[in-house]
Amino acid sequence: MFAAKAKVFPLHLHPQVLQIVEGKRSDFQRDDGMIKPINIKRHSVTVQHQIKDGRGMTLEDFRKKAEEAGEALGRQMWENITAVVTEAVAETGNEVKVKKGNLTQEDLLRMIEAREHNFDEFGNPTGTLVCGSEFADEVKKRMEEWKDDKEFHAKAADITRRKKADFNEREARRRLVG
Amino acid sequence: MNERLVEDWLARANERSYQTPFAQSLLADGFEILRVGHSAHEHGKDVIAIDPKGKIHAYQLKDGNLDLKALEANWGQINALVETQVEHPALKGQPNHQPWLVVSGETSIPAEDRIRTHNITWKKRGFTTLRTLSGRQLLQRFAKMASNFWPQMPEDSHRLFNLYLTEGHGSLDRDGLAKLLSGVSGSGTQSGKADAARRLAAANLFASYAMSPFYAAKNHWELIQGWTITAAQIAWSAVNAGLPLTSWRATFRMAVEEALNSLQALAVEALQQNALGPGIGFEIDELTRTRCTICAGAIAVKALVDRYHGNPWEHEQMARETLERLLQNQRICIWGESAVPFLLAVSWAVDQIGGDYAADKVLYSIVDAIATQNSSHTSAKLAPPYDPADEANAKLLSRVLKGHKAMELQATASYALEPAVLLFARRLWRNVLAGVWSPITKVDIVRLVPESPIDLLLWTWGNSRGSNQSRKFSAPQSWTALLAEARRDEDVSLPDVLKSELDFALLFLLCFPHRLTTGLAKNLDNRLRTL
Repeated sequence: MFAAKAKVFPLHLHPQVLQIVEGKRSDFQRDDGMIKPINIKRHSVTVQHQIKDGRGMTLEDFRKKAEEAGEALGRQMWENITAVVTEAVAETGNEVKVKKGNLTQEDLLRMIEAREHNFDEFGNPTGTLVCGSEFADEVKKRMEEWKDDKEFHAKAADITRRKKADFNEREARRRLVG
Repeated sequence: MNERLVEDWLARANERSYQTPFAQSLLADGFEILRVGHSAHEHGKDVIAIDPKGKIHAYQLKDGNLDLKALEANWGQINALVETQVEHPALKGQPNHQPWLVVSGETSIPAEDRIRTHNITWKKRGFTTLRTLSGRQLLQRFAKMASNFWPQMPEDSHRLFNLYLTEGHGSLDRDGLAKLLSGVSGSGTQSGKADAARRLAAANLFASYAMSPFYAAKNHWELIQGWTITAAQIAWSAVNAGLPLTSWRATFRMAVEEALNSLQALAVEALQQNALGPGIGFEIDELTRTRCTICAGAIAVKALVDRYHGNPWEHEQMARETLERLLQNQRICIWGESAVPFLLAVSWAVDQIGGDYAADKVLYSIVDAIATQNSSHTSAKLAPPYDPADEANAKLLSRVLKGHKAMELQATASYALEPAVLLFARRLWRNVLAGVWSPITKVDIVRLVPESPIDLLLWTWGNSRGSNQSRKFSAPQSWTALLAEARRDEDVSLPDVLKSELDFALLFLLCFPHRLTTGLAKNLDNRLRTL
């Protein structure tokens, strides 16, 4: 079951979580200081199996049903994550609409621009772009096409420079003053 | 079935494990309990009580059957029970007392005959004659106390039997005990005040049954936890039922005293030579250091409690040397956030009995460990305070040996960072704190806020009480504002019993790591730094 879940929602894509062990209510503070309530809901999946008189499940049936449950659970978890991201994107206005098979340089630059960029202690970016496999293929294909486009790369480098400056400013604010 | 359990329990009980139920049964008969416990200074009197008519009674408790051989072996203590004066600060003058010999089994006829003969002599010499209580009479007393409060639901009975039959060298099922006590003490049931008070007495009785395997195994740390959970549940249920303090404090103190007795046993044992080293050769050092940390916390709390009672521990000097040695040899570790209370206790104890700046170094080690480990998205985080040491170490080993990623998948958050930072700010280490402020701001500070202060005493809130809030320190953070926050009084957030009973508050600190709020940390800091 868990292997099937991990196929749909791989562990390396799993966001880090604070397990809420107890409490009737829960909320969290965003980086901008705003307090947002957390709507705690119970999630479940249903798997059905036709019972026949005097006959149990075969091992193969059991495996299939376990996979079915795992996949459904993984899908539900993934949908929940994307729903939260979609809501945050709508709220911040960082939406980028891309026509399938028609990714433009402007689209990609806007996608880079919209994200918050973080860097490790050596200045290397630490972010990861998570997308579907079809879109990933398209991004790879376009990047290959644009690899010699100096103007595009200059624009991308300019964004990264600005994002690095933003990051440095953010980090510099993490101090005791007064 | 229930009677059989009590019979079996009493047959296995040692003197220590049935002293609290016995004293509780005296309380139920309207006695005032002056002292419960075994010590070198007891002069044969394990329990001292005053009956409703004002007469003083002294009891010596023995386990098993009493035959002539056992009587002769214990004669010195029995003689002291009858012939020496009862001494207690609450008693004035030289009052006479009624001596009792209590045995959990039966007294043989020759032994009874010997007592009868001695009674004639004692009577001639002006002493009150010795009376006896047998196991059969004890069973009747205990049955009367618990008659209406045996678990009614199958799952509660199952819990009691599971606890009773558990392996005493292992860990106490703290959730199971808390649920059992919650049922016995009648949380959520509508009952009169007299019934509510009797339920609290029964809670101590059932706690004794449930923890008997740990008495047999002399597993002191699990007993400390069990009795602290019991005391907390008694206080919560009493306040919830609207009982006046006078009607439940004695029952509550009985559980606290039992926890303190176990604390004393653990602390004394921990001071012995080689007591903390790996008992069996092959032991991973993380486990040895965990044991050292738990024992250091117990030693620290024992020293602080005795100072609070105005009677510094006779082993205080040895306690100081042991804590210093453990700190210097880096034997104190943070296995997870449930270790933080132990380090806080060590910090306060070193401050009191050791002085110098080692206390602040301990405090800083908490801030530094959480800020460093829990601020990075990619690193393994400290286990949350809900995980006891064994579970936290199991996660750590699963990560190392099996490549499990649970610790990496934890959010960059901490329950204990805020109290630790505020205590450190109180010590005015501004520049040191400034050095780690960047990682501190990357950790979400998790607060568990009860709807009513008394709920802090509950082992678990489930999803029906309180709120779980995640906040952040400011970036940039004003030092002045941080200092003001560190000094802000938060006593209003605490239940009265934590404010008025410092010894219980210290036990609570160690045993309820998930209830370490900034209010509790500040309150203890205020009181412990001025002992």
